[in-house]
Amino acid sequence: MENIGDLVHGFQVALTGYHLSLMVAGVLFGILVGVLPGLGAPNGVTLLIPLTFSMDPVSAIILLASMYWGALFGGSTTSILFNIPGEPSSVATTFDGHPMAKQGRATEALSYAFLSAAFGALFGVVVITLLAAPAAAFAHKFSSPEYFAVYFLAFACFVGLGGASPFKTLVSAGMGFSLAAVGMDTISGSLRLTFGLPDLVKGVSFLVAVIGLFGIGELIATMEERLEFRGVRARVSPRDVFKTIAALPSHWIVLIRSSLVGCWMGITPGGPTAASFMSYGLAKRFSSRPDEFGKGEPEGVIAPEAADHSAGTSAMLPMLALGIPGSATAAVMMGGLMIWGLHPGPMLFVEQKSFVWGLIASMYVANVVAVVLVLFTVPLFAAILRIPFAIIAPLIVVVCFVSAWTVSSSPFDLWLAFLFGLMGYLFKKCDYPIAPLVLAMVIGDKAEDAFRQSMIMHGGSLGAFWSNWLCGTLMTLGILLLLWPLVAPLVRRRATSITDAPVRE
Amino acid sequence: MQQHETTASRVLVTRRALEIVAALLALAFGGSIVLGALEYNVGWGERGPEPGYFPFWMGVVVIVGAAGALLEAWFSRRPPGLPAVNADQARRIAAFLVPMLGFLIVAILFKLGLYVGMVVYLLVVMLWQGSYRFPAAVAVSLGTAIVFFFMFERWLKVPLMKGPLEAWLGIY
Repeated sequence: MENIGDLVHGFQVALTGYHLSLMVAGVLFGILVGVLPGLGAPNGVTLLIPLTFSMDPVSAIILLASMYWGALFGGSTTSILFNIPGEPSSVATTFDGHPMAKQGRATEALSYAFLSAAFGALFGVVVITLLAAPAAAFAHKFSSPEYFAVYFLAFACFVGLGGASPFKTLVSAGMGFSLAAVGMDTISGSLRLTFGLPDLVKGVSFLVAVIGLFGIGELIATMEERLEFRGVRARVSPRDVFKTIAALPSHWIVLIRSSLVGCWMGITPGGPTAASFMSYGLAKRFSSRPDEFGKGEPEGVIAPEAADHSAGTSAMLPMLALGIPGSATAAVMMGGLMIWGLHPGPMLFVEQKSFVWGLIASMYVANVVAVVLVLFTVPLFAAILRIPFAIIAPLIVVVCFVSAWTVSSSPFDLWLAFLFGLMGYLFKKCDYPIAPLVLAMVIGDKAEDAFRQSMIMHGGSLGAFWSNWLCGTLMTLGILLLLWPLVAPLVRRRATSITDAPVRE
Repeated sequence: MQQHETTASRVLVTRRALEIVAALLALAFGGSIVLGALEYNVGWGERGPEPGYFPFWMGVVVIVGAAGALLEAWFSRRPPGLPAVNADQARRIAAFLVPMLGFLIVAILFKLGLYVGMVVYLLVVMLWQGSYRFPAAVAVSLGTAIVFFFMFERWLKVPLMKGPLEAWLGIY
């Protein structure tokens, strides 16, 4: 198999001393970011991107990806010990993780969380390893209309299956695309949507938007609820860890089911948060003791964690193979790729072999590194949370503004970050989804180019998107998904009236 | 998420009001995108869509979504008095945002730079809100600035915004 050879080459890239130390640094920074409320994985990646401008792309992506794995682990730590999810995707872990910790089973809960998370992550990486090359080969057939169709489908998924109000999803995605269009138009060279402000000529950076939306917005929301960390003390003893390792295989059904759910939600833009909730729900439904869920059931920790991490890792697949990120964090990473001068998509597999396979190999290594590190450093990071939030929050604010500055050394970006912060808070309060906005900002220009190029290729007719079966299927599927929220209530009403009918007669 | 602090604090903004405000803001955003796009041709040229086409229709998407969200908020089945922000929460948000604005004003409007801005910001927040003693606040705020200086200027070679103070001290 060609894949194996590529993977071996990837390991040669990943297993250098420099890259291993980047993984350790990335994972540790990630755990810190994951543990601190108000700093999440998308934001952590954003903070690091300006620092990677001078790095080799492989090293840069290894650093960013390791940070992501660290953040996923860090998020579960606070969920279990403090009942405060460090990441939205670890909310479901609090349901059973924190009750377990309160019963004095903190080590058990943490080990279950980390180990099943690692299982989920490795499952995701194996899926990527197997599917990456075929997916890229498939995507080689894509030209502009197909690309536009895939982008369209990705956003239609958000509207149709996202769970938030479809109108709010439209607002979020539309805002993202509009913001992406600000500044120089790549095709005609005209300066669009600048409203006469010279600062807007260079466009609105998605990095600044993420810092505001995820960083400052999240902090405002956290400050609003008076945050108190009343945690459970954690000391991880090796014997408890090994006991958990021994017990883990008996939960294999939950592990595999949750990893599959995670992979599916990661590859389609459902995202890790949806995946963790869904797999928690499934675990409860199929459990032999559903009443125990919410009171400290290990499977209630295993299910969301495995799904969360497998979604997180498998979200890298569509990003690498198609150039469509499966989660907000993957979107930010893809933005980074484009800043480094790489073109995410199938050509990456031909032109940048060591980049792609170095990254995939590093995902195996970094996840193992992350589990070991997180098990040993839990007490340390739990101690950080005992520092009063009155100091931590302003420090995070400083970090956010400093990194907004590093994006392009523009004072205007700091005001923008502040505005995006207010917007993020309002979005959060009113349940507007943020991920579509970030995704739209990152792929906005590519989507528009794909659209206009398809029009140029097909003489300006929308028939371009139905010119072959592949493209036509994707577009039709997308339109059906967009219309789904309109149709769904009717279908449901119809179904209930049919089942009600015999009773009425 | 929503912890209902059993009417301990006066409700300042209801969920309904907040939803309506958010939808109206989105409507205004969409409207300004459409107006901005109209500077260019928004139709079809000889070679497909003109520069204004894509932004124009994205603005329309925002307007449609915002209008839908507005209707949703208006006819929502939520209990009408459902609180979104109470007075206590508003006070905490203001206490967080005002110093943050101060940071930006000191650093950017007064052109004193990020280092001076962060020292002033951290001092104010720690003394005023954290009720820390003066020496502790000075240590943390100056320490942060020094750590940032060495990390960004020396190690990462990414210069941050500096003002007259750094020039006067001869730090560049």
